[in-house]
Amino acid sequence: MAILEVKNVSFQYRNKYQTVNALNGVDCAFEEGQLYALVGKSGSGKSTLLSLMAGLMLPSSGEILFEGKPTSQINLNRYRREHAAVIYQSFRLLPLLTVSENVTYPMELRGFKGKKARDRAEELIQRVGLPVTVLPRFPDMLSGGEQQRVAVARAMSMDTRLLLADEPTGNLDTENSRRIIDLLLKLAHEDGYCVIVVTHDLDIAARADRVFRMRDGKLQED
Amino acid sequence: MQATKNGLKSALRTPGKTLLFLLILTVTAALLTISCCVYGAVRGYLNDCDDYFHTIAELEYIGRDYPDQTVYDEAFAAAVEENRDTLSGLIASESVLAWEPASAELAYSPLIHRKDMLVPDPDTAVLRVYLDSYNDQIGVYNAIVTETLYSRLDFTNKLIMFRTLDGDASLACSDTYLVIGRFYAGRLQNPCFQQTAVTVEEDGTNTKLPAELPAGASPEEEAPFLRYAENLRAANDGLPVSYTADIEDNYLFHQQVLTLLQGRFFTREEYDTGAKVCIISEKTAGMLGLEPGDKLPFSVYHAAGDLYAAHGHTLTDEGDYEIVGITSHSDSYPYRIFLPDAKAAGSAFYPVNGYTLGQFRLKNDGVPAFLEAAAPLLEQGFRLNVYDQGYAAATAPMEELLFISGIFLAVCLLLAACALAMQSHIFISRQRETGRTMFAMGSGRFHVCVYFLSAALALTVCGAAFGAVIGRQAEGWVFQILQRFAAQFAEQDLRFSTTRLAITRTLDFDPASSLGAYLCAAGILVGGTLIFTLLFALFSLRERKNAKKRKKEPRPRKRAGRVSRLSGSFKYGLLSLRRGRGRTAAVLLLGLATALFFGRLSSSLIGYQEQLDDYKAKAVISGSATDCYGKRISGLTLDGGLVAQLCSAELLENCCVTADLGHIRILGGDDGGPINYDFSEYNSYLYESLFYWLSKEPAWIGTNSVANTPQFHFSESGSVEWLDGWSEADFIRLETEEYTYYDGYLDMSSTRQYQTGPSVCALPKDLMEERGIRLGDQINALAAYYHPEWGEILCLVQLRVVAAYVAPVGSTTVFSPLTLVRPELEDRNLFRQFNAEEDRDIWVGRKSWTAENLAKYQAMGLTPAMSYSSLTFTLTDAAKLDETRSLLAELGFTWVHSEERTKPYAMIEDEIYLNTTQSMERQIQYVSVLYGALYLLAGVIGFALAWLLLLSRRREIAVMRALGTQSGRILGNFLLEQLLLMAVGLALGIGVCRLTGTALNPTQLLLTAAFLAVWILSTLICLAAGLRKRSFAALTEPE
Repeated sequence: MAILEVKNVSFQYRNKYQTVNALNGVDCAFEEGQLYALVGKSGSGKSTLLSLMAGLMLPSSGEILFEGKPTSQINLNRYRREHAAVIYQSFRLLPLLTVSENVTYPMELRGFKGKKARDRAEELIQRVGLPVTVLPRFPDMLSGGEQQRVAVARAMSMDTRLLLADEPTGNLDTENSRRIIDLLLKLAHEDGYCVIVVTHDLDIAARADRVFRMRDGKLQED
Repeated sequence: MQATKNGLKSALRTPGKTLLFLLILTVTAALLTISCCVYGAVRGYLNDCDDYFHTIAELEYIGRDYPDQTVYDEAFAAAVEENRDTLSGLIASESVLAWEPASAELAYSPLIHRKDMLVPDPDTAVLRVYLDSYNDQIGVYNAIVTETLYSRLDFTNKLIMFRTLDGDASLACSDTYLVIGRFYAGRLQNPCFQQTAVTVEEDGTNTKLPAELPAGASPEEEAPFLRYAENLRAANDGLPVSYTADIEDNYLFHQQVLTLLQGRFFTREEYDTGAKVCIISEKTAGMLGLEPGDKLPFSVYHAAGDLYAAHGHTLTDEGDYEIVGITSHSDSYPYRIFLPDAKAAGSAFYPVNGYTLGQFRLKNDGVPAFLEAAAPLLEQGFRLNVYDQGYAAATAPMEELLFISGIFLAVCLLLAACALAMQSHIFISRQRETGRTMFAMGSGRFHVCVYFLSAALALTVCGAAFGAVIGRQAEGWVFQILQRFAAQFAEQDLRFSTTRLAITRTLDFDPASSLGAYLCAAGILVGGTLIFTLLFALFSLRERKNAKKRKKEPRPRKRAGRVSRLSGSFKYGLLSLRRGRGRTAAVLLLGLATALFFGRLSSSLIGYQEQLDDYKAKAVISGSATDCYGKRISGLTLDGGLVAQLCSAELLENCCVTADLGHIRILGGDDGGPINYDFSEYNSYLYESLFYWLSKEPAWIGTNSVANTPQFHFSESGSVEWLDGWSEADFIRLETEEYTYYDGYLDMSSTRQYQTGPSVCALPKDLMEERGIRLGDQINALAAYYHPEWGEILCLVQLRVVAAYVAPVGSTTVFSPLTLVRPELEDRNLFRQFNAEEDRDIWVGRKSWTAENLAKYQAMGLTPAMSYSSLTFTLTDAAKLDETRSLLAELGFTWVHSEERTKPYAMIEDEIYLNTTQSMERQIQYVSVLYGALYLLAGVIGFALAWLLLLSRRREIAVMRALGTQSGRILGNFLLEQLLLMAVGLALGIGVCRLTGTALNPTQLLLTAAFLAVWILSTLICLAAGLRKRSFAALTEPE
């Protein structure tokens, strides 16, 4: 059963001169244990679709159903906190928190605090292939690849089943990109996450379970 | 050209922004224009005031006969000699524009025969008399005047009663003698003439003339008598002449004591050449039937010393003087003649006839410095009267206005700078890529700058034009407000004030539009646009350098962990507070600096206020009743009712009154042995002459406070030494004492009024040393005393010397208790018991009594004494200056400088107090305005900084939101962080203030709290903006 369904979703950006149809009746469904790649040219609407799926925005029309329930009827804060984890191209780690705190932050939002949270953070950091020595470090002391893996660990710490990634390898070199793709695939295939990746990276698209191509606000499955 | 066109197009194609900038620039230009206009108008008015008002300072000497302008005081001449260097220094001081010594000469013309009361020596005559017979009974010769060499009254061929120098019959009858003497009013039918001994000064030596010259004396022997007669004629018939280098700045015209009625003042050429022209008084013109254009022949009569002494003078500058103007006259200056002479200026100090040494023309704003430089002179018996015609009164409010308009102008300039900077920055940053592309495509920096400048200048010019139109419309309205403001300041109560004693001119503040102000405002705007646009344009073309990434060793886990173990909603706030590093330090530093800044400013303001309060509390302001020129404070006739009401009011203390008792001759000692006068009912001369000679003796004055009498009033250098057991308070106590009366031929039993009050006196130390009198001695004295009922009477008195005084200037006055002569006075409030029989009409006709006081004192059965000749006082509280003024006005005192008024005048010596307090208040006002602006600026900076700090963290906020953090939690975290940071910073600042010795004050705390509130408010506003839905856009923005 699809964990996330996009039903006839349209989205318009408006400014005083024009209205841009970023999404135009998009329909698709995403299941757990799969890694989906959303590819398309710049301006095709893939990041907009990801934002809608991440609960950062609501669609202009149509519905996004999470486990059958429209996001418009869910408290978006709660949705983002408990159901949708996002990984950004620029990592978006909280600069004033250590790696450990960044990872434990989403747990604390859900009331999972203290030593247990810190132990879990340590475990997640190791799972994403980083040594525990990075835990007390601040994000700006890490390389891009390390930061992105911390971002993945933070996403994993949210214990969601839906993991959204917006150009996760956009700022990384080949080696680090490869590691991140491996990690995401592992999360999808071994941990059962539904991983949706917005990307230009052909490697990701090639290794994804399913690939959706966005064109002029419409979705086509390859 | 292409760049200009494109630049203009870019402005037109962003109409929203263009309109917004245009609006901002229009408002800025309007404000700037108005502020320039106001500042220019006020500055212009102050410049006009400087030209319109002239400040002079009259330098006088407080001699024993002050303010008599006809005496020659040797002490004055000695003081001038002693202070020659100080005087020269003062004349050369920067505040002085010109010095004009008081010239006091006489113009002698054979056409003039004065018959007024101001003739200096009306009774002295030089006669040739034929002695007919000697009257043994009364000791006089029957004589016939055969020739009158000089006499105001012509008794030629008439019989006079001639008395020789010693009153004996030493001259031979049937002989003719040339004699000098004076007529007196005897009790005989014929005029009485007393021969006098004359000493003349010729070639620096004093020569005693023979008492008389018999007929047949040689012309050489008679020559001194003839010269004496001629000098006497010149002294008596001469008109006072003043040489002046600028008649309009002469005190008399400066203060409008005299005004020009006909003709004109002197021209500059006449001053420079010393032309034979003159300006005379209407009285002189009337007496001689002269008009402008007529000629008046006279010679100027110069004196080396006493102008009015009939010897040692020379007549110079003889000629026909053309009358160019006729002035009004006053009782004090009936016949004054003015002659032009620029040479009068310089460093000359003489002659010193009268008590005015001369006058300074001062820079209007140089008075304080001048007074400071003159301070040493003022301790030597000199006095300065500064007359500014109302300059200070007119400019004081405008100085305030200038300061405020200056602040306003500065704020407008700042605003304009901000607006222009913002416009340039936003305009250029929005089009940075355009600029860079143009640059990349080969357009030079110049073309890029022209592209930006053309749009910015077009906007600025339009804004400036619209602003000027609005400013022009608002200008009249603003000027009206300013005029009202100035009028409000001008309504200060300055009655009786020495500072503003003579406001003789007023200059209306009538601001007008000025093209210069508009051009100035436009210039500032265009200039600012050019500078900012160029700066930002060039900056936008600069190549960026990649900032090095910070790579530091990780912090020890232990430290981070302790905070990490914190939990709860505010954890992030607390963590970021600790880890914000530069940001945290900046906020802490800002808080610390702000608290320090506020502490310093508020404490300095409080310090100023405390200084002012302290000064006001300690200031001593004295005052006195005076004549209409604000000069004379003794010899007045002051209604006792007025004085009593004034002194009994709680506004004044140390009220000192004096009553002139007449003159007193101290008997005993080498000089004043007992007079064994041959009193006889026939010897009328002796009786008359006794009064005459007594009038030359020291003045006898009754007072209730020796140390506050007019002799001491102008200086603090005098001192009084009291006999053990005596003090000021004892001086006026009442006691019953037996009295010794003179028991001679004349019935003087009417002097019985001296039966109560201590028969004591205070004498000048010099006199005591001269006569060998010591404190505690009993002295005998003969006194001439004017009794209101019986007229002038003689009495012999015994007085115990209980005080010896040293007056600031030589004084021979003998002080006795007021209670000695007014024993009925019961207390210092100068009232006595009302006697229904004697005082039946005492209240009648006393218009000066206030209804309240009348009822009050009638009910108490009290009535005041009749009159006093001086009154000095001190204000109980300097802060009650205005109340004292009101009381003086209510009681009928006046402050108006006019001879025609008959009301008593009063003067409060508040010049130093007013200058000091006004200067301090002005300083406080300036500082308050300045500090207010600084507080505001600090608030704006705080607001902007808080905004910027939060703005730089909008991604953090977006991430937190993306992670599902509730808005309340984000708000709480950031608010807590900012609150704690700023609170700690401010607390640190307050702590540092305390450590550096600045006491905490409520203003500082209030301001600090206000700043904290501003900080939190700006944080809240920025957070509210950051928590909007669109804030997620920050997540996808490039780094």
